[in-house]
Amino acid sequence: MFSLIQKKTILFLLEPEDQNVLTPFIQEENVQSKYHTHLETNFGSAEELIRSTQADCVVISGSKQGMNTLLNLEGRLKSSELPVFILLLENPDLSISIKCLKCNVRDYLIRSECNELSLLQTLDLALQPLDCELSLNQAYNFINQLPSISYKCKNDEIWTMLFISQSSKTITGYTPDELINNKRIAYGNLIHPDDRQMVKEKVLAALSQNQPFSLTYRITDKSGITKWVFEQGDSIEENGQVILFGFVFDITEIKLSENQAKSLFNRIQTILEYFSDFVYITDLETKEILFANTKLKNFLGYDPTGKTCCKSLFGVDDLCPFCNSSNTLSYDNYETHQLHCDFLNLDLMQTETLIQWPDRKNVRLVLAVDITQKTALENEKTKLLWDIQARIKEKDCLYKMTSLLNETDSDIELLNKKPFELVKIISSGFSNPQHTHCRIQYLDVEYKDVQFQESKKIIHSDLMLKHEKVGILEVCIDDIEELSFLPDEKEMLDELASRISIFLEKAELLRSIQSNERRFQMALRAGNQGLYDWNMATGEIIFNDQFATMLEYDPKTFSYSYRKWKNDIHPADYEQTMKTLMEYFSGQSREYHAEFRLKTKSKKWKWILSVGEIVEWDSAHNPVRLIGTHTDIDAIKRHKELLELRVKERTIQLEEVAKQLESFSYSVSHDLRAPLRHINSFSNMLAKNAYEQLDKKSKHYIDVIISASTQMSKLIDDLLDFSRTGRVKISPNDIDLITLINESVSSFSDEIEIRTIQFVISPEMPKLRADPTLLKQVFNNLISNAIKYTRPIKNARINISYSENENEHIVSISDNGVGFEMKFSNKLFGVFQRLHHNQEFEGTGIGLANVKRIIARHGGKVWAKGEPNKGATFSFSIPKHYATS
Amino acid sequence: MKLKPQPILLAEDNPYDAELTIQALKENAILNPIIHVSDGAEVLNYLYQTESYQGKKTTKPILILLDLKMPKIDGLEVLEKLKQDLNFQPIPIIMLTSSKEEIDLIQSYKNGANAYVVKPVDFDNFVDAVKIVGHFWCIVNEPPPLNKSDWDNAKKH
Repeated sequence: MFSLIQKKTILFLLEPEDQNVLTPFIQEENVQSKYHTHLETNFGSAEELIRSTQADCVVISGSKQGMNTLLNLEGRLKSSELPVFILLLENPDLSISIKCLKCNVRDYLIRSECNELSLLQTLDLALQPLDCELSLNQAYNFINQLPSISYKCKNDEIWTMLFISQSSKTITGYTPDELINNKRIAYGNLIHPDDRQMVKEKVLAALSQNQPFSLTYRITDKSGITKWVFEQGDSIEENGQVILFGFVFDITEIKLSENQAKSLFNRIQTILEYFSDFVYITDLETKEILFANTKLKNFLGYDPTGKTCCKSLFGVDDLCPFCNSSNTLSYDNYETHQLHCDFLNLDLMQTETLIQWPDRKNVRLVLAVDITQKTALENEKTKLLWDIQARIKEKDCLYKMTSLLNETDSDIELLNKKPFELVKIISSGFSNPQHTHCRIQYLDVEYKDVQFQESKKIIHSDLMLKHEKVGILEVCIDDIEELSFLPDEKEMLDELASRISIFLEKAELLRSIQSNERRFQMALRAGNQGLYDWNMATGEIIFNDQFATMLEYDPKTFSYSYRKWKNDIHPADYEQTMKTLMEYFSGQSREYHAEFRLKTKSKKWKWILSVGEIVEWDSAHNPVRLIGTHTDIDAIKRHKELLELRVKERTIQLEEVAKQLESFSYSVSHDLRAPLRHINSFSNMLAKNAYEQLDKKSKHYIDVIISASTQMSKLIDDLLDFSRTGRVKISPNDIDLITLINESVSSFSDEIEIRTIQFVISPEMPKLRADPTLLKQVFNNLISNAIKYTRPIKNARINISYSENENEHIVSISDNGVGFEMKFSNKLFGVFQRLHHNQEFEGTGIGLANVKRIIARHGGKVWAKGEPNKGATFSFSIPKHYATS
Repeated sequence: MKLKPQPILLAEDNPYDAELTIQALKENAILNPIIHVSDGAEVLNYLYQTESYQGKKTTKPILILLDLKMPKIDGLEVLEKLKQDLNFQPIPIIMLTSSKEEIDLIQSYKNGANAYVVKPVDFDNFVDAVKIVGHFWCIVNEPPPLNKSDWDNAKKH
C-alpha cells in the first residue's frame, strides 16, 4: 500500500521536434501528480543524467542520435541503475526494433499518436513490475502487424518454429498454426535446396562467433512459387538450448529488378568481351577489378577479376591517373590518357568512363588500347630518318622515294606529321592517289637545289606493302666517283627500302587499331536501338530496356524467348524473315538484316528492322549465339505504305479517267461524225439536185455548209488522232530513219511534183529505236507543214538533217517558207494554237501538238526556230537509251 | 429460169445513214433489193424468222452491211452469232461504221467480218465507198452456194 505513494522519476531525453509534441502532455497535472519528470536534450551526457536523476524510466527519441546513445549505454550502467526505456518513434520501424532487442527497451510511443492518455498508459505499463506475459502479448501484437516474418525457432535441421508471426501467411503461404511445431511442414524445408547448404553454413559461422547473421536465399511458398527473402537473425540461450530468432523479409521484387539489370549488364559484357582491345571494369572505391575481357585475360595469362587495380594489371600500385590521384569521372564523358607500363613492356592508351554496375554502384569502365607498336613506329621513323640523313651525308647522293600508294591521304600524313628536323618527307600529288609521289628531301643547304635529272646514276629499289608494290625508292648518285661503291650502294638501298616498307605496313596496321575505339564508344551508346542477345541452345533472349519498351512492355517484368518472337511475327512477314535468318545461318548471305512486323503488348503491329551477327559457334560450327539490334522503323514503313496506297488509289483514278476519256473519244468518233456526214451528204445531194436553180448567194451558202462540215470532220479526225497518241501503247522497234523519211516524203509526191520542191535529206541518218507508226506521224506532220508553209515561195527548199550528242539523236526539218516570229514560238506546240489564218494556210492546230506528244512519249524534246519570211526549223530529239516507254 | 437477185441486208439504226446508203447503192446501179432493218435484233429476226418476221418467208441475203453501234444488239454481237452459225457463216458481212477505233477493227475481224469500211463524211467519198463495196461483193465476188446441203457436203471434204 505505501509503495503506491512513491513517485517514480521519468527522464525525457528528446530531440527538439519530439519535445514540442510531448511537453504539453508532460506538464499535464495527471502526469505531474504521478511522476517526477526531467526534460533533457543533451544526449551526450545521458549516462550522467540517468545516474543523477536516478531515473526509473527514460523516454528517448528514436532518432539516430537517440539510438546511438541507447547502444552506447549498454553495459555502462549497473543493473540497479538501469532504467526502463521507452522509444519515441515516428512510425513502427523494424530495423530499430531489432537493434533494441538487447537493450532494455520496454515499449514504444508513436509520436503522431501520442497524447496525455497514451503517455500515461505507456509509462504505467512500462514501470509495472515486469510481467512477461503482458509484454509478450504487446510484442506479439506489434510483431504480427509487421509485413515481415518475425520468428523464434529451434536451431535444428529444419528450424522447427516455436513462434512465427502472422505475415508468414503472406510470405510462405502457411499460417503460423501450420508451421509452429510442425515437423512435416517445417520452415527449413521451404528453403530452396540450392540455398540450404549456404544458409546452414552462414548460420553456423555466425553462431560460433556469437554474432547475428543476415542471409539472402530463396524459399518455395505453399503454391510452389519461388521467392527471394532476406533474413536477419541472432541466437539466444533459453533453458540451455540455442534458440534462433529474427526477421524474414520478402525481397522478390527487388531481386527481380536486380536480375534484370544484371542481364542487361551481361549483354554489355558480351559486347566488350569480343573487343580486340583490353577492356576492364573496376570498382570506384575499392579498385577491385569486377570484369576483364577475354583479350585481357589471355594477355595476362590469368583472370584478374577480384584483384586490385592497377597492381594486378600493371604490377604497380598507381600507374593509371585514376589510381594515381583522385581523378573524377563523369557518366557522359570519356577520358583518355597514355601510359607506359614497364612491368608488361606496354604502351597503352586508356579511355575510361563511368557506368553503373548491377548493384547500383558506380564503376569505371576502361578500354586500354595497346599502342606499343605506334610508339615503336614513331621511334622507328625517327631512326629511319636519321639513317637516311647519315647515309646521304656519307655517300653524297640524293634519295627519291616514289610512292604509288593507292591509299588515303592520312597514310601519308602519318609520315608527314612530324617533320624531322633535317630530313623531311615531302608528299605531293595527293589529289590523284593513283600516282602519289613522296620524296625524301635533304634539307641541308648544299643539297637543296640539286635536281634529280642531272644525276649521272640512278639506282632504285621497290617499296612493298602487304606483298604489293606501292612505290619506288630511288637514289641518284651525284658523284661519278661513287660508281665504285655501286654494289654496296644497291645493298644499302634495298635494306632501306625494306625498312620503309615495314614502316608503311605498321602504319597501316595502326590505322585499324585506332578505329576500334570508336566502335567501343558506339557500343556503349547504342542509342534508341533495342539490343538482343539470343542464345540458340536455350532459346533465351536477353535484351536491353529499349528492346522491351519498343514493344510497349515494361522492361522490369518482360521476358522474351525465340518462341515468343516467332509467334509475334506478322504472318505475312514470317516466311521471308525465317528465310533471311536461315540464309544467314547457312552462310548463303553475309548478313542478317530483316524487316518485319512484331506484335506489341497492345496487340498492334510494329515494323522492326533487325540486324544481327553470330558471335559464337559450337564445335560443329553451328551458330549458338546471335547478338543484334532492333530498330523501330514503324513510322517510316507506315509512311511508305501510305504513299504506296495513295499511288495505287491515284493509279486507279487515273485509269478511270483514261477509260472515261476513251469512251468519250469513242463517242466523238462515232456519234459526232454521223450527223456531220448527214449534213455534208444531204447538202451535197441538195446541190446535185438543185444547184443550177439556185441564185449566187444560195449557191455560196451550200458551198459553205459543205466546206465547213468537211473542215469539222478533219478537226474531229485530228483530235481523235491526238487523243489516240496519248493513249496508245508505244511499241518500239528498230527503225532505219532514212527509209522512214523517204516513205513520208513520197506520200506527198503529188504536191511536190506540182510545185517543184527541193528536198535535201542528209544521208547520215542512223538506225534508232522508236514506235514506227508514231514516228512516221511525226515526219508526216513536220514535212506537210514544211510543204504547206513554203507554198508562197518559188524555190521551196526543205532540209532534213541529223546530228547527235552523247545521249540523244536530233533530227531537224527546216524550210525557207513563211517562218514565224520567235515570240510566238511558245504557242507552236499547243493544241488549237495557230499562227496563221485558215484562209492563208488550212489546218486544225493539232498537228504540232501531236508531234510534241509523240516525242515526249519517247522521252525526247521538240523545239523550233524561225524568222518571218526566212523560214523555220523544227527539231526533235530522241534519247539513245530509249528502249521501252 | 429467171433468177431474182439476192437481197442486200442493211442494218442501220440511223435513218439518214440508211437513206444515204440506199441512195448510194442505187446511184451505183446495184440492182439487188435492199432490206433495211434498224437494229441487230431485227437482223436476227429476219434471218431466223422470229418475232416480227415469224411465219414470213425471207430470202437469204447475198451481203450484210452491218452498222457497229446499234441499240439492243450491236453489230459485233450479230456478227459473232452469225459467223458461228454454220447456216449463215458463208454470207459476207461488211462492217459499215463511223468508228476508226483500233479496238473496233480488231474485234470485228476477230468475229469474222469480211470487210470493214469507215463511212467517209464527204458525200462523194461516201458514194464511192458504197459503190466499191456493192460492186465487189454483189457483182465481182462469186457468192457461196445457196443450197445448204451443198455447203455441208463441201465442209465434209
